[in-house]
Amino acid sequence: MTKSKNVKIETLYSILFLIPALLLFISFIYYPLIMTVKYSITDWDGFSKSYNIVGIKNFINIFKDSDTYTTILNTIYLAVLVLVIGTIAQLGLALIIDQNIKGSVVLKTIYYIPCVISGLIVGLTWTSFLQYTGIINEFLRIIHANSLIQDWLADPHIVKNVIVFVNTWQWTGYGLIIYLTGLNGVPVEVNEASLLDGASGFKKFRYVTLPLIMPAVTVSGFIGITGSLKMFDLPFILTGGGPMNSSTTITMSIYKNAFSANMFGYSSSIGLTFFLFIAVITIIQLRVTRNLEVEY
Amino acid sequence: MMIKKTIALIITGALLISLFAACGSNNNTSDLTTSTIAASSQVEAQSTAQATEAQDNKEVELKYVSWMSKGEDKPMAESFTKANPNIKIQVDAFDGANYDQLLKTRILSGDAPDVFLIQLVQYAPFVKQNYLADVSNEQAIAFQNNTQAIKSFMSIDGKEFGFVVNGGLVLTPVFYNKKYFEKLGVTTLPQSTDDFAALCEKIKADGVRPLVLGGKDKWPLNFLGLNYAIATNSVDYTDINKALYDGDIKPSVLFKGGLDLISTYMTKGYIGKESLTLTWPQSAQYFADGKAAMLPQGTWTPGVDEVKGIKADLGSFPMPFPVGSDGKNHIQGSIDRILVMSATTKNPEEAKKYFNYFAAPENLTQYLESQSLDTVLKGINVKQDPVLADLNAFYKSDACIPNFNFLSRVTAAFNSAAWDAYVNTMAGSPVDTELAKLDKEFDKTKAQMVLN
Repeated sequence: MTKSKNVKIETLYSILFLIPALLLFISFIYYPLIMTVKYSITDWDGFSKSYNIVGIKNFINIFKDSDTYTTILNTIYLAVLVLVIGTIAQLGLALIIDQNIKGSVVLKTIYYIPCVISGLIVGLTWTSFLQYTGIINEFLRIIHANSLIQDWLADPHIVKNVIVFVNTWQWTGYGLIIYLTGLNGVPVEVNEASLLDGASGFKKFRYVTLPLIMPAVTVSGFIGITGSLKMFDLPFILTGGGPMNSSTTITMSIYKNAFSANMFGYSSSIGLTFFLFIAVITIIQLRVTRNLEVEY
Repeated sequence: MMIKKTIALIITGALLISLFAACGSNNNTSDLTTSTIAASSQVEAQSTAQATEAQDNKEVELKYVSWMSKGEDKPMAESFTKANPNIKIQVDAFDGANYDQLLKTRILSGDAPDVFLIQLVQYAPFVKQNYLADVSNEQAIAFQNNTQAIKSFMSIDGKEFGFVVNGGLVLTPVFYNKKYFEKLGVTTLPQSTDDFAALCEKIKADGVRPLVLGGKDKWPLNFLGLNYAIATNSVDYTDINKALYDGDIKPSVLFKGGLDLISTYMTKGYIGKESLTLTWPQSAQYFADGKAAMLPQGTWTPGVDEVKGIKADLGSFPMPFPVGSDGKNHIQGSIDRILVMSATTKNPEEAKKYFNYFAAPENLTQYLESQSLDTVLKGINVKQDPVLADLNAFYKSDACIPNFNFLSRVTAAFNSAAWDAYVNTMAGSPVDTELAKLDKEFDKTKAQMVLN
């Protein structure tokens, strides 16, 4: 066969192998996105056969709706805390486990297990722990620490922090594996050289380790930001968005407006606006972290 | 290399074919909405053609859905299958708090159950959207129409689309432990709101929580919030739904009393923080464990597992609410469960069989008695649990007037907002804030109301 014929066959095979994934992507990502854009300029209720075009009225209403402001603030609060605390926990544990401590394999497994449990099971399990009559408060009563008893799921001042805690507990293992992979990629000779040059502790981490594991930070940061901004299952199961909307996230607001209030068009406009918001944040994050990456 | 690529290509092709096959079995929304338009007459047309087929005992599986999460509907399904071995019933239960959303998702995805239960607030909207089959000519409806009040209520444009499984007075019993009341020296049950408050103070002084509710599920708070609204607002408006829609009255006016009551009970410690995060079965357990003295809950309570241990000592009395301006006790006359058929069922004959079987007096009576439910349908005599005997006598007396229409046409979204208002008030939100939210939520979805 001639070289060009071989290239053509290779190209054909490449296209054919791409088609299934492309079809899935178009069906479940692009097509819903296009339909969301379409419905966002209508007053469709989600089940009628007709609707009216309302233009940008839905988008304007987003900024007039005080409930939506509350959900945006809740979402940003949760996302920032989850990202900061999560990163500290994940990176800290990765640095410890990377020291080849005894039982590191077992520890990695233990930390990773919560990641594979469904959000529903995690939510229901933690509900039984965190109810006012739940295991945590009962334990505090038994050890006579009554002053520490809290209404973990029904106090609007602490409920978001509780969600952050449960979310961090669930996903620490995921980021841990990513950071460990990054740390394993740091050349041994670079570490040795830095030690010879007198760098140790925080200085070594700041000027040697961190720049070299920036690709891992990029990936973990990207996943963390998108995941935390889209948080739905945990607050839905733990609190239902209450009390007083203090734990209602944007995705919950989208769900409620679409399926409870039958305002599918308005809900689509919130979804689209939120999609653009996440896109902007992640582009900024990727640019910042990629600029900090160094090559060895 | 070529052989490997060919094998890989065959596998890819097989995956593609399975993908198309899977997609081909889904109906999209536009197909569904088009098909529902002619669905009712389609059911009729198909029934004759399929009569012969049914006679041939073809194996059929019907899908049945409700919010009965404790398996309450399974005995009915099992006994039907016993009588009709070729028809199996797959019974599914959806979460009650999100039943409307979950059911609509299922219907819109083209996987509507053949026969299902709906709540009162869903009836008119579902009829309007052509989700429900016209069952006007069914045996079950002929029986239901003997009760004129139900016939006129369930009729939309001269047709009926559902069978009222249970309905009547939503009794608002407060369950208590007789042994505990004896120990406390309580010899007479409260007859007024002042008596009730005094009783709560006495229980609180004894170091026990007076009341417990399943706040996590939200709807149990209707026993205080909604029923207070009915007690105090029934006389002034003959059609409260129209009055709300026309703006003659605002939701905040209706719900102020109930939210004030909840707020007061929380402030005084009659209801505790634990109620906010307990589900209704957990609240029943909390009560059965003696941690709370009284449990405002539905008439099904004596039958639940959680209180079986104290059943012998269980007593009940009607929650004392203020009487109306006519001196009568106005009680919510509600229709709790409505049995319907899907307009797009692929097995209309079998679905009708189950529909009529469920509604047959002997089967319905057994169903109601097993769950301590009641019905206003003539021709059904339900043996009530002895725990509720005095309660029933009171509610069926001339001193009580049922109100079937109170907020029966508000949207599911507003219903949900009302539940949120109760819970938020319990959590400490000012009553005025919640009332303002209720007005706002009502205006948001008012246009979706379907009035008679």
